[in-house]
Amino acid sequence: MTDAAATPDDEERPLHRLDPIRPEARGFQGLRAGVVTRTLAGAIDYALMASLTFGTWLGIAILQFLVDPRAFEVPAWPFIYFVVLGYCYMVLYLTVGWATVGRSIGSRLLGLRVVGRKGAKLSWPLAFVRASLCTLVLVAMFWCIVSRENRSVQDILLRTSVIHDWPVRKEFRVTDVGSRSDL
Amino acid sequence: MTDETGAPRPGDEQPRALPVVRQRAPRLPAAVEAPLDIAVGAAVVVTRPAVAVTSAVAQSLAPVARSVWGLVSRPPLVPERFTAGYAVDRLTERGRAVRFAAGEDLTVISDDTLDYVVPEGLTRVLDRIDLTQLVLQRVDLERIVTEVLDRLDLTELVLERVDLAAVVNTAVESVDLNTLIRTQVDVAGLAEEVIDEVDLPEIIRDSTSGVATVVVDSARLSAVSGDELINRWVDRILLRRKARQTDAPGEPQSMRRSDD
Repeated sequence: MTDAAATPDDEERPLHRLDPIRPEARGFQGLRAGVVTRTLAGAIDYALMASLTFGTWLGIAILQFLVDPRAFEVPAWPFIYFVVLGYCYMVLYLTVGWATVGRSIGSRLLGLRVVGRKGAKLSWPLAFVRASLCTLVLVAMFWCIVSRENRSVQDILLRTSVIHDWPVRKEFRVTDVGSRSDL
Repeated sequence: MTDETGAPRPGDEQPRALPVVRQRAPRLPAAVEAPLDIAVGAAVVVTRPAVAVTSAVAQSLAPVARSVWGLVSRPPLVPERFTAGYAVDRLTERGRAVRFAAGEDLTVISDDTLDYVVPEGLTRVLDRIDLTQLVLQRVDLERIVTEVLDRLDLTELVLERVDLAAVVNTAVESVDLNTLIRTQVDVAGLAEEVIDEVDLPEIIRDSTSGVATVVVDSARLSAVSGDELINRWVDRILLRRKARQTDAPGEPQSMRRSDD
């Protein structure tokens, strides 16, 4: 479509949303996710944060080597350092993800989204509290196995939900055929 | 009241008949024509009463005349062959024979003559009439055409006799198809209908999604199947009869319509 043909009629023409979601997946969009999906998403997030934590340690080691190669020794961090750093990364990462787009990378890959009690995005404080709880009491997530509403303990406490909401691409505008013929 | 061909249009109450005979022979001069007409008129006036009186007298005297003629033509006591009636009968037979022979001659002659006379006469007749006008006035053309079309298999005829490819090619070459479609066809409406009928999102999804998307979608669907499996088993173990209430508030972004 040429630029000249794109205005101004396109403003009045309804925008056609091309739903790229598979037909077989449309039925469960908006429903709360089960344990398998949530575990996989969480595993991806944990793997990412574990990699980031290990990467931090590795980066520091390389930096020390570059600064003073002669005095270089592999930094011997106690395990608790890794745990604390990983916890902080995880909380920060999940807080930012849930408060901004409602998803972490793992959630995005598995097509999940975290919403509040009215279906909206979490506020920053709520996202922070949920991230802290989820990371601290990981096992509480598995309550969704027995919950009638597929809710974890954190979800029950904070009245949040993890729903199937597959990410979709940007909206497409169906090209006006009449204008296309001008090409 | 009539169209260019002179044919009466439907709806006209009384179509005016146009003259179809072309007058070719010149009329007589007025100086000759008037006295001639007077003479003919006078003759008619005088002759008609005379003829009427004569025929009346003849009718009244006819029985007497027939009796007298019978007596005179075959008088009594006169041999038959010497009577006037006998002579008259012979003459009648002779005359009839001659007339029939002449009739046969005339038939023989007439075939040759007609070959010459008919075309010549017909040509002259046709020169003097407007045949087209006559047909248009007197012939039910619609009925004839209908009758002909009923008898003909027009489709078969066209397929046999017409070079359809040439006709179509010529038509397509002489018509600006783009302009025609743009002016005569509601292209936008057509496109909308096609888009409504076709699952365009599915086609676009199929054509644009890469292998990675397919893998991710499959993984998601497998995970969902795993969810359902575990939920089913757990519910069965916990002796639950009602299905889980997994509806969440709000509408997922994936199903949100663009015009919301």
